[in-house]
Amino acid sequence: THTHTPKPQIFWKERVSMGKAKADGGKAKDEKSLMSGMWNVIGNPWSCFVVCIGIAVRLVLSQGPHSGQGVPPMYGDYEAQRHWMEITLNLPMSQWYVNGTDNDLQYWGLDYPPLTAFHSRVLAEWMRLSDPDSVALHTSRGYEKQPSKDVMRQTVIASDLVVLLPGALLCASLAPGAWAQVAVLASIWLNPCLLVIDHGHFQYNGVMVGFALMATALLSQGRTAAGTVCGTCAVLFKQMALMYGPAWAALVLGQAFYRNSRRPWFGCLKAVLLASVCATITAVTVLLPFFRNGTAINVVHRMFPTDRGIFEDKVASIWCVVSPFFKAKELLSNSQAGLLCAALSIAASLPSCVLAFKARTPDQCFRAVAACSLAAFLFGFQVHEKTVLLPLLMLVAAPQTSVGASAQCFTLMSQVSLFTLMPLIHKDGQAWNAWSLHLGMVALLMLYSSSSQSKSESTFWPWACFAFAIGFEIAESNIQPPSGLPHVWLLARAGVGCCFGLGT
Amino acid sequence: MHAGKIDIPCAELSLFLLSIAFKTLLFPLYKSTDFEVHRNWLAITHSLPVSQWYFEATSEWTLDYPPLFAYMERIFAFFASYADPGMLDIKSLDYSSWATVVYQRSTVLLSDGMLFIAVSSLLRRHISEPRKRLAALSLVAFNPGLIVVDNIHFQYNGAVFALLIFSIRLFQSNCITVGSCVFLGSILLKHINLYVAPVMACAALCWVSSGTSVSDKVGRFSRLAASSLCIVLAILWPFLNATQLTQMLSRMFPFGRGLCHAYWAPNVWALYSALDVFLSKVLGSSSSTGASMTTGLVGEGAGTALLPSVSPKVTVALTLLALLPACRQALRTGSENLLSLVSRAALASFLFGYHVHEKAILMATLPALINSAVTNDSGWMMWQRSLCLVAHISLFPLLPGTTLWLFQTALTVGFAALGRPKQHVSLVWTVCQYACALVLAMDVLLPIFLPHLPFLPLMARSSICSVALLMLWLQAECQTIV
Repeated sequence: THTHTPKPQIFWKERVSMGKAKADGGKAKDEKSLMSGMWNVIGNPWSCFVVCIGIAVRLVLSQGPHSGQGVPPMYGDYEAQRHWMEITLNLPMSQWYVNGTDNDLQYWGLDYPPLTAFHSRVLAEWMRLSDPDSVALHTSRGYEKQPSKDVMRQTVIASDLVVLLPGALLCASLAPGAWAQVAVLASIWLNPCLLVIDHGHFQYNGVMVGFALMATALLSQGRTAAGTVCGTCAVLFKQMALMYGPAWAALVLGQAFYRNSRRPWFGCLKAVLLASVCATITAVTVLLPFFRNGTAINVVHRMFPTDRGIFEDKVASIWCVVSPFFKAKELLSNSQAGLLCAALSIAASLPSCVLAFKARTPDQCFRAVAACSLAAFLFGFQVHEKTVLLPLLMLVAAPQTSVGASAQCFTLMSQVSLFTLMPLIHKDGQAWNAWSLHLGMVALLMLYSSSSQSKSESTFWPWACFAFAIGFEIAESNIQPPSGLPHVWLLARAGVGCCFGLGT
Repeated sequence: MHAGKIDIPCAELSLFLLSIAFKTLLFPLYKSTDFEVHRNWLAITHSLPVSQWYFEATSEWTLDYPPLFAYMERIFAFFASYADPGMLDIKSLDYSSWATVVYQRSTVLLSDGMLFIAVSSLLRRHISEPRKRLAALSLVAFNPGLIVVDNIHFQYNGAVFALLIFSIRLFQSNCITVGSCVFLGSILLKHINLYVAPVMACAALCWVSSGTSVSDKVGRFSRLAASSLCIVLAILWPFLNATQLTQMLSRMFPFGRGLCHAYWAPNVWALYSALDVFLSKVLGSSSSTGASMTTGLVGEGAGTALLPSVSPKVTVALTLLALLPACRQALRTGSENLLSLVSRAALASFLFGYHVHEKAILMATLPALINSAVTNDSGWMMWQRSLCLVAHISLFPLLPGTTLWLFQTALTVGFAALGRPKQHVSLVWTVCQYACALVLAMDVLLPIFLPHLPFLPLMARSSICSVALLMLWLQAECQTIV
């Protein structure tokens, strides 16, 4: 009854929309050049090496502790994912998003869109093959025995290989020159923040990021249909990808405007229609089972919980940093706060949307989308610190048209993101790994800049940042905060990250 | 040797830092009993007087490396007291606090650094283009064999090979006396370097005999002999009495340990034993001595069931025979192709030696790897890359568990991709690739289909790799004889 997997349908959709794109203006040779571009990237022995080292690093990280390891009653994200596999495997689709005797929504209820649910369903089969007890209904809560732990980690790596790697290859193929291609591939595939969150803490952000990167890359090449399908997939996997939404829309309009020099506005209208048709078809395909059994509204409720509060823990968003002065939690009700956040986010992302509209090169496209999501991150409602991955990865994927300064800036961005993630990393016990990756990233930047004959002082700031991060750690663990402000260190960390984000 | 050594190029430093970052990631991983071995040696050299070092036997892991290694452990032990004094107690067996792990793994990074510097100075002499040099250095910095053996399994081969490479470098710059001193030092660091001693001696003799006149030759020889004697005496000074020397030699050369090491290093004797097991199974003889070869145990009593047993003298004789072609070429050409000669000699000793550890294959791969970056002969390059591939596959049993198997596969494949030929395709490379793919397939399939024969994958791996290595060795020797 529930062997329905939408993935083949999505690829069919993509082929149909590619067919539409062909009819749209003879872009058949563009399609070939995209695939051959990706093939070229992989043909470079260094990119093979980077991919393999990335797999090796993922395997090493997965030997470390995961989130909530051995911490009853709720454990952590690992247990959440395992529980979703249990639910989707054993219950019919109509019960996945509904509170019931078999599905207690208070214990890690599904709160991601259906594509995550289908993904979990497929992976649950793999888990059941290796260790059926790990996904048995009710009895497998907190199951952390060994073969299942390894298999869970391997599922993340496999998902990365299937979705993130093609996305990374596509972005890399847009970069000029073989060395730059390897650099872009490395900065996505070996990004410390993504590695620590996905393979340390345990999540599946790689899939969403892969889809989002593919969307931006395809849209920047004017492939409206394929890009929109990928973008919708990203949103349908994790609704956080909506942060990219306004920029993507502006990108669609901008590319249509630019590429139809004869009748630009008509081109825009056509593009908008095409995009909305594709998005709707994709969304309906994925959500169809839920429409049919009447639980679609539950899905929406779980995806957008408006009763959680404006921020959680200590995250580098504006609300957290100004909370000593402006206690938004107390002054505004949740729905008011939600509206304020939405308004501010949209206002802050308007400049980036304008940039997206005017973007011509792939580089500018990526940066515009990244800026939009950064605005949403800083001003958003109930934003997790892990969401920093969205702007970060979009930024580092930008095929750098000018090396040196851009590379340094992107590395700094990664470093600061890692810095804001450190409390979470410490909780997971992955601190040692995070520091190694941090060092590796700065060394990689130094290698890249020194071997492409740019000035050596371009690595000063990253090293300074590394030293600062170490110093902060040492200070934090040694100096006790004054009694009135118990969270001053965490706040300071968030504050630094926030300022940096604003500056960018 | 001059200005190039003084300035530290940014790119090479950053490559080294990158490899350090990767290796620090590996700190929390599996460590074998070798970790405890070295911790014990830190304790012995720290707490006991020199005269007791080779007699101490509280732990089962007695000191069985030559004195220079013991001195190195003494230096490490001095700084270890700042990290965690608990590791320096002889009685604290299996002590492995996080500080201990970090300290010891960091000393391995130090020895990796030594290797990096040695290889860098060698490459600087041969390759002028910085990017090519960087690519060659990355083959050493991210070498799967070294990573598996040194950084995870825990050994100090970095330092050992650093001295070997440095001595080769000196030989190639015609500083033979200093070079032979360094080489003798490397033997006294780890006596595995004896594998290639005949070749180095022949290269030195070639230099001696290339003197312009008889007096010059005599002068060279006497300089060589005098300096070698001095260095050996200086290092062995505290042990220069009969009891110490005999004890030391008995520790260093334990001939009672059996023909094959526990993991069946892929050499000729492993093939011999595999053949013996196969024959005994086929012909139905169920003698216990034959069966013990497959249990992975080590012991003198584990002889062969059907085929005649092989004594250490036979292996030594065969090894010397196998080394003859390389020695002859060293006598003729001296230090020119020393890298490839050394790797061939190491391979020959590996194939025919007694109780060879599978880690010893690194002594053949490392010079071969460096030579492949330096040489212009694409045939040799393919040979050397094939050797590395087979060697890395043969090292898989050192790390247990599925995740580490996947890790090793990823590293090996990535490394092989880096050395992938762009133009030249050779039969040897293709055959080796298929052999390795076969080994990996057997690793995956045999436990599923034949779970009642748990040692079959090990035996299969060992046999296939030894056939491949034998083939490579024969090809190398035939090419040079013809």
